[in-house]
Amino acid sequence: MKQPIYYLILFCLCSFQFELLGQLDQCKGLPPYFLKKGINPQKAYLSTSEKFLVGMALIESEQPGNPNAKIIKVIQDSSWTDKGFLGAICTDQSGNSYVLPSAKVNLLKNPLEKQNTIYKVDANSGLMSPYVQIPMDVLPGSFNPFGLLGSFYDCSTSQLIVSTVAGSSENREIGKVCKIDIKTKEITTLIDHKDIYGLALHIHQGKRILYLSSARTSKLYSLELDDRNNPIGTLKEEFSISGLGPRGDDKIRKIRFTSDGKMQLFTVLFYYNLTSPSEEQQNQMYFVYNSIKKNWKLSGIE
Amino acid sequence: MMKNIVLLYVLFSFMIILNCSSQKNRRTDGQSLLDERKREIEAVLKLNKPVLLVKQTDIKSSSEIQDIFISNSKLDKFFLESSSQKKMLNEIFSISKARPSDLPNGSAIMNMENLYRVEMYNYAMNASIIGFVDLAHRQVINIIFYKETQPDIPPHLVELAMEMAINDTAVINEYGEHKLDQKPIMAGTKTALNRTKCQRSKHLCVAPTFVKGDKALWAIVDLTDLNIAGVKWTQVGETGMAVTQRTMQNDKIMSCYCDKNNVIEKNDWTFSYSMSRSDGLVLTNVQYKKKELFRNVKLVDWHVSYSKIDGFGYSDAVGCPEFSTAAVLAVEPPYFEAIVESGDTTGFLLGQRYYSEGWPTPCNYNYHQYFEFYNDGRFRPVVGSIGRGCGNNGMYRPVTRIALSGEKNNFYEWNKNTWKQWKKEQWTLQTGKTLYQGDHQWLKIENDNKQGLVILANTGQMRDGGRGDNAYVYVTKWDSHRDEGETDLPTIGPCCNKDYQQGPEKFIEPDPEIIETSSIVLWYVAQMTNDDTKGNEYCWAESVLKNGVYVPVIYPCYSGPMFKPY
Repeated sequence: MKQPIYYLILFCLCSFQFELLGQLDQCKGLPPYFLKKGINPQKAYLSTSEKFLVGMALIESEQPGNPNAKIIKVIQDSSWTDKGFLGAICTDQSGNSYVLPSAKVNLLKNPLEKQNTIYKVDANSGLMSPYVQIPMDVLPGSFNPFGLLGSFYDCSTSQLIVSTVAGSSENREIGKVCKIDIKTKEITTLIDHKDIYGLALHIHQGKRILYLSSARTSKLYSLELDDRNNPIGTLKEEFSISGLGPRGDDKIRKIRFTSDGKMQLFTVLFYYNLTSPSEEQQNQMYFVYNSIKKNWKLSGIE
Repeated sequence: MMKNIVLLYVLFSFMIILNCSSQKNRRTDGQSLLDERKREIEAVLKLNKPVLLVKQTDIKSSSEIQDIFISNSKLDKFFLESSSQKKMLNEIFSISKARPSDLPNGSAIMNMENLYRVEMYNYAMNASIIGFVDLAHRQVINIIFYKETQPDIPPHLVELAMEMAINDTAVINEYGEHKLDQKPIMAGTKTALNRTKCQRSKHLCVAPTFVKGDKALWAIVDLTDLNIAGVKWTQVGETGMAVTQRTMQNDKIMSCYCDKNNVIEKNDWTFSYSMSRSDGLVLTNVQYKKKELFRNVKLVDWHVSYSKIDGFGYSDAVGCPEFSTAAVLAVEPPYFEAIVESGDTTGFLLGQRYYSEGWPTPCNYNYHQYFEFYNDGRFRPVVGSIGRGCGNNGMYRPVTRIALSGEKNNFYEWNKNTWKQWKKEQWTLQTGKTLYQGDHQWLKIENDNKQGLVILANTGQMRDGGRGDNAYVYVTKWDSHRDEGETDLPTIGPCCNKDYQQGPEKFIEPDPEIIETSSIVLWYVAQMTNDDTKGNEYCWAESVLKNGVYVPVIYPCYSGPMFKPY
């Protein structure tokens, strides 16, 4: 599951620009530590899914975005490796990155009690340290080793929105979605008792819509938010990807929108268990919105 | 019994019934379409172009179109595996007039009148090959390959799937009535056939579905292996997850075995078993002739290290396929089997297999665990690896935890012609210099009545193809006031320690406790080195073509000591 963050043309997008693009995370700032580490920011990305590497790595590639391109340089700070395996990365306007833990083959490097800890990589020093811990009603266990799964940085409010399934089990759904004000670290629960995997905030037909995917089923939901990311209305089921793709039982790991307005879904095999080292069963699905029928329609699978 | 042989078997050719009863004998007689299909496959695999041609089409020139299509040299790689020169089974599912929208973007505009679309399925690769044939110029314009994609199946395969389903005894038994061909099809569907996917086997599957009241019975028919992959009931109109091989398999394991105790009384043995979240199949309260022998026996971890890269390897847990910390999953139900030695049934075994998705491709794992219960009271917990892993230089170290019954046990090791008692928690390593008494008697546990169990070392004499365990054995004290692995244990050791530090030592160091006349736990860590040398394969697996489709060939390595009462 590749989680690269690219720093090519993302530096100074104003609020007008990201509202225009629709997806509200298009404001990633260049972290000053990139330059201090002697890496070409035009060809650099952060990754938490490099083979044989634990934690996060700063990669300089001849062609970022191409997994087969030659890797020029790999940099790992010791504070990036001692947190165990990591997952989703979000970066704010100043270049601070917010990184989630992610249990993979086993839990030796990922203690259960840290599964709801968000780590912050300081834009200046490049050091990674615990940022906030989302409260857990029940500690993850052998019945579900996961905690935080999805994250999205909203540039318009400077809020980080995350999903966690910590403590959920086969017969107990206690996941939640929270927003974190990155200035005050205040945590507010947006959705309770729902296991959500990926999420993305998008301006859709003039409304702020938070799209969310279920970690339990193959469904995609939406929730309208106000300009401070408070929910308006209730969770609405948009569609299911059940039966689609080579496996037909994928869950939606990540939701993003392309510049031409397509919804891009990164789908993966997920049943709340750990995975083998070679398991990269994932696909990308594209959906387009039919404004007449007011629904999303599949336009392609890669 | 698993002899020292190369086992060839078809992966996932098992059936699943979603009640928790044991598997039923199936009968597949009286199926004319199935017999005919097998004959067709056998015949076509003798041809240079192993392609079953389309059976029904409205296109008049279909023979000519197919001939042009399969004669194209670009298709040769779908007919023959270059390394083995073995044939791959293909079938043309349909021929239709091509439409402009069928052509790939950027294709030159041409006369569509004589252009035909041919859809071929490759059973070995589970892939679709779409070709466009220009009949006027007798040439193939374009060929597109879609991996893990299956075209719509043709009518004769629909009929075949229906015949297989309605004649299958397990399907009939599950439905509870005969004459399934007269039963209503699933409401809201145009045919009685639903689409499904066999994700784990990567086979072509469809699901004839039969309605009974407000429920629908899905029979998943595997058209690659030509068998029934399983059946599952759903509520009519249900809009949950799609019914597929994986969801069906997972549902069965989760509902019937995960954390659910199954009590067995068989021969003179009594015990319970259940599937754990990370410790494999767990036996509890094992009794022989009403005498308690083991409180709990389970497979805690698999540590796999590779010698070419220092510190490279994986530490895996086995267990439930969902909501677990297992990476290598139980997808088939546990099974019972007779132990036959020299023609006599001498006991039975309870077995369980674990797969990572994608096995036997590289960096995927397959483990096998079974417990042998002999009529004379002997007991053997066996674990084996069936490869394939990430390299040919791997060392497998399974960690088995065996909690013995009894509060007043003493532990002994055969040493210098005498049984020497272990006073404190400690470990030992089986080496080439280890001495045994009699029939490989290495260790023993004895209660205050001077009765107990002798542990026979595995030096490769167990008749399972094993080459000896070179095992680490640890003994720790059991204390009801603390949990040292009685409940589900997360991975307790790293992949790549080459010494005694495999995890159990955590319960010994730094201050070993006295274990005299106490309740004890024995930890057993076998060490097996894999090998891919031709003729000497061990802990290894390969995929080979058989009857036009890939099947795994396995070279297991089994380990485990024998417990013998005295």
